[in-house]
Amino acid sequence: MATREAGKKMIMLKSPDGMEFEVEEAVAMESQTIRKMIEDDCADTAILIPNINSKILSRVIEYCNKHVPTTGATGAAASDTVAPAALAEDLKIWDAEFIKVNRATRFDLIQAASYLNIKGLLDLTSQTTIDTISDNSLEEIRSFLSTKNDYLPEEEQTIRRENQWAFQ
Amino acid sequence: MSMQRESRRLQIQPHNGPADSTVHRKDSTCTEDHCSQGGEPQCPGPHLPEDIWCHIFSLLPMQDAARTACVSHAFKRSWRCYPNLAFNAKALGMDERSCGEDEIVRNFTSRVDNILKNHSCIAIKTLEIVFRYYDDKVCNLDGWLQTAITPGIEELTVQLSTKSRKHYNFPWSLLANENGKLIQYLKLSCCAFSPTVGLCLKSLSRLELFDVNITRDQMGSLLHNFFALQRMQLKNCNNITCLKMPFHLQQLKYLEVLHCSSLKVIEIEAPNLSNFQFMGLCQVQLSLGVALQFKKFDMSFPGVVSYACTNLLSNLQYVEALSLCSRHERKMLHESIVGDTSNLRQIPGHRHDRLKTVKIIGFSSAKSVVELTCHIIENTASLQCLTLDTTTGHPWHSCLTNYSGKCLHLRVDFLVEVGKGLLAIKTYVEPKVPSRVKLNVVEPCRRCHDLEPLS
Repeated sequence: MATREAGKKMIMLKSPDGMEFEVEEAVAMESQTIRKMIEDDCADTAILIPNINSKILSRVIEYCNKHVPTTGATGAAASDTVAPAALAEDLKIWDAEFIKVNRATRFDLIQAASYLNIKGLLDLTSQTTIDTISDNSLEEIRSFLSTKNDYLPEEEQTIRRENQWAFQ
Repeated sequence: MSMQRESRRLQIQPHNGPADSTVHRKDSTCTEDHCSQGGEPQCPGPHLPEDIWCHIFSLLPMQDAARTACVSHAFKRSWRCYPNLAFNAKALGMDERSCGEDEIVRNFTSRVDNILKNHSCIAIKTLEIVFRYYDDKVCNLDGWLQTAITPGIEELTVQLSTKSRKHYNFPWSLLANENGKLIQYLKLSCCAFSPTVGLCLKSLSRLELFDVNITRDQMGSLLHNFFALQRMQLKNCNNITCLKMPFHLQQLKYLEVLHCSSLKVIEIEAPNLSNFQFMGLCQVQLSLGVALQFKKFDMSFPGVVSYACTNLLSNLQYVEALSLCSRHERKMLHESIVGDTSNLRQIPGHRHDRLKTVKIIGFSSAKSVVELTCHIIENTASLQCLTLDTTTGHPWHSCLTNYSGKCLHLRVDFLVEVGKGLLAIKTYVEPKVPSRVKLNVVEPCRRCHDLEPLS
């Protein structure tokens, strides 16, 4: 049943470095930005995705492919045989593997998810950053986010005093 | 240090193209003051445009967000605009066990005062004040709300508890006009109602009132202002005698009314309500102005089973989850079927073709319960599993699920009723159960109880 039906509409996505990706319309429409373009009829041939290189774009498409909800007759049958909870669990494991990338790639994915407006991907990619900030000391956060401590000693003392409660 | 820098540069290099545009945006958002030190832009979250960074920052727990203010100036600016303020003892880093009540009140007050004094309140989207030691002599709650409620507010929770049991007079006027336009969620607990003009909460979709002093007419005038309401919960609102959900609440799907001791009547005219829950100690009269069809229906008061059988079956035709809980039905408010020679009454014309699983906890031989059970079996083609539980159904009461390893002692009259219930199942229910339906009968464990076989 997994064969591509003839009637399924395909969309061409182009990255600025010249790569082209042919994807099912439903997969592309996981991105609210692209969905809007398609619905407004601005997307008859190919859509140029600015700012997202082919390496990142291919990963984004991989994510959308996995997360596109199964619809139609075959889809309904599939969701009847697999329990929703098991499906969600499977997705969670897949997501955890997917996000095992280096920091630069992760930030690129965050930007791509934000630009293309893919909520699930934005949440997934942001969460790692949030966890890192929550779990680490100030010095570790600075190093993780490549930020310098630009406080003068007395400024730092003041802000520390003001937010003392947050260290308890 | 130089090693770290080197590795960082290597990681950034691969994405020249897309990164270019971000660098521009970063520069433009960080031109002022502290960014220029060391020649590199110092926005929080490098490689990320400011708006994306703000989104990520807003997802941090409040305490972590406040802590990061000490990382750098840029982080301090992010913290000042942090949109989700949650003022509760835990989020404010207070250990309620290690200090006295006066100290808790003082610390809570000074921390909230301090945060709000330095905060850019126009950025606040979510405000939560949860404080169980609220003391109106120390906390300037009016002032806090005045400062923090601005036209950007989307969610507001004020959950208090006071020693004096005095209700906080919530300043509804703060939500009048512009300030209430975006609010979607409102939760108040231990508050009083004061009428306000100009209230127009156009976006409000969820309302939760717990222990709020509000009368029938006040509630009516409040609901008059809501059009987007989808979910409403009322709990322990003991002044209200009659609750009317008017027709203009077209989007209302979910209504939960729990323990409102004076409530006698619930009138529902909202046409799309599909999920209803009621719990109380006395019977309530449910008056349905429109032909409502419930998907989830959960009602609990003494005598609810016979009440639902008589009055509500036509509204339960498409019900997917049904729960009727009556603690006193078994105390023979209703005649037992055992020894009754009259025929079972039938309830014609009502089918329930979405129900798959039915569980009756506290099954007894009360005639109305047996009739309801037979009605469900005969009129529910979709039924797959029927559970009749003759016990209290509470996990702590059973030796299999509690820690003591012993069942809670059941009184003799309870056990006699269990026996009658089991007999009723054998006589009236079992012969009617079709082969596609799995029947589970739950009885008190025989290790802990003497169950006399009743014949």
